[in-house]
Amino acid sequence: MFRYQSIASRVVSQVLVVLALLVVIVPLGLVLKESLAGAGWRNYTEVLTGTPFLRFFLNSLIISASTVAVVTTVAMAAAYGLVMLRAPFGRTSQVAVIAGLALPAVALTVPLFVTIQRLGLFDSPLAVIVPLCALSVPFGLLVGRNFLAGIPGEIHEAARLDGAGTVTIFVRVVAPLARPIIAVIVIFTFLAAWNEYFLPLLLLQDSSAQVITQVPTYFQSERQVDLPKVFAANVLISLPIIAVYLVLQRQIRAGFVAGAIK
Amino acid sequence: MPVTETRREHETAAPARARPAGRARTTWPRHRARAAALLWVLPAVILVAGVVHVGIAYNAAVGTTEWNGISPTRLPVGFDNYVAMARDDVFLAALRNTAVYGVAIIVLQLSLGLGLAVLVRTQTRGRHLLRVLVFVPVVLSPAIIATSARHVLDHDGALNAALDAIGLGSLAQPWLANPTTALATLVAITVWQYTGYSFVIYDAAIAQVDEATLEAAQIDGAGNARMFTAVILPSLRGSHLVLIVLTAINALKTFDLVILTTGGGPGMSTEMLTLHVYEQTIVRFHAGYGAALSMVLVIIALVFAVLQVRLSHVREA
Repeated sequence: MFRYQSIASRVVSQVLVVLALLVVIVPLGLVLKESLAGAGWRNYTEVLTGTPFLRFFLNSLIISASTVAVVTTVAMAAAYGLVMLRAPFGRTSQVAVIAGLALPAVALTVPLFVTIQRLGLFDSPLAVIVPLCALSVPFGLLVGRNFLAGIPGEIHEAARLDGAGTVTIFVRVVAPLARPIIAVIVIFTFLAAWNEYFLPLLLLQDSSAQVITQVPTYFQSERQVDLPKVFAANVLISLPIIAVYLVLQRQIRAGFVAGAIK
Repeated sequence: MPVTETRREHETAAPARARPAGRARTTWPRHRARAAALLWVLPAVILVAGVVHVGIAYNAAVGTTEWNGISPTRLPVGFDNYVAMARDDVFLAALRNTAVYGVAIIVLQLSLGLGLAVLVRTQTRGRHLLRVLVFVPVVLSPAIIATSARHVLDHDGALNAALDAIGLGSLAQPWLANPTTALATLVAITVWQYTGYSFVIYDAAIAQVDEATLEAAQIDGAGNARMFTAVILPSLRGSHLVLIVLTAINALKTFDLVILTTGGGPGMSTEMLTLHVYEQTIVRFHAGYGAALSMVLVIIALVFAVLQVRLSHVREA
């Protein structure tokens, strides 16, 4: 876009680009360096074998995968019902459901804590999955609804005239058409669930039930703070996410744009 | 587009309800189809209403009592909890800090993000790498960033060691443990993590700017600065609005970063609304007061949610 720049502004731009790169990379490099302090790579093998790290990883995976499956299905089904089947569900009610998207989970501390306690569900993955789903569905519904509203109604009518039932249309026609927005919902929901810290802190107390974001605090409580291992654990937690991002970076950035604007 | 969709809905919804009973026979299949459509919406409604709406109603009820969260009896106290907030220094500090933090990250993330989005449009080396890397922190967990930052920014942490090494040792200090720098340090960590987000939004918006308009401006002799102010900036209004609302929501939600770095301290210098709710309810067993505090969060969140829903319509129309 700015193809013609004076020499001076070219130099300034170049310096700024290098500076920006350093600001991003140096802190990440520092964490990597700290994780190798003392025992070197042994810090990593010890985190993997000497701690319940893999258990935490698995718990995170269970919670995130369930949340993604539920949120994507429930939100897309609701969007389909509202937009294409024109469910008699008023505008105010729709906003009341979607309004959940700005609510911090912390605002539900009292009801969640009391309910989970009464149901005896502490340390069950369900205790985290259900509220996570409830707080993630509004976003999925908002973007799903806006996306489906952009698909011509004739496609739906045509499938109907061919005698297809609503379930068939949803699975065979709507879902393939909505693939881009489904990808957005999957990415957003997965990141939100994988990175969630508050709900596990509140509801998962036994270390066999805890998740990956609780690993650093686990280290601080179980033994004297063993800094290199905390950093090694942080690197191990972040690597899968960074790897997925680097592979799918274009789609993920495009997804975030679609998620913000629609 | 949602605007037309909504209108369509009103047109069809109203007659269905108002139709006289005598014509029920002809409208019955249609009516039934629409009722069946509700089944598709039901799971989402049950989930959100069951957790969010019932939770808020529960907060509202418990918020008018004095209760420790465990005992079977609650003492009704009317609006005393809300009156108490006005005298609660921690709450007032939390309100102020959340606002300051929110405004600071909005201003910094938007201006830096826009700056970077312009920067990657210059003919510089490394601009493609920058576009990829600047978004990496966005996908990382704030809890992980917080625990790493806490140690890197410690008084004997890596940042101070680095400052020492380049002869700026006089600047070294416990960044998160000094009441005058703690909140600013939290702002810096947040801006480091999330500027990539506003960058991506601006980058996408600038990519939408019509090439022909830019070329015309260039032929008319517009320089780079003029092209930015006259062609690019005016097209970014929608992006600013979306980012302001989303960043404000994120500021309101901030919890992990604070509890895992400063815990609200030193003193009350980094106390936040979310932290105060958690502390009152879980640590101090003031569930009644915690519920009332939660209602404040709910009301602020509601305002932002309405703004976001409106924006998503404005942009489509």
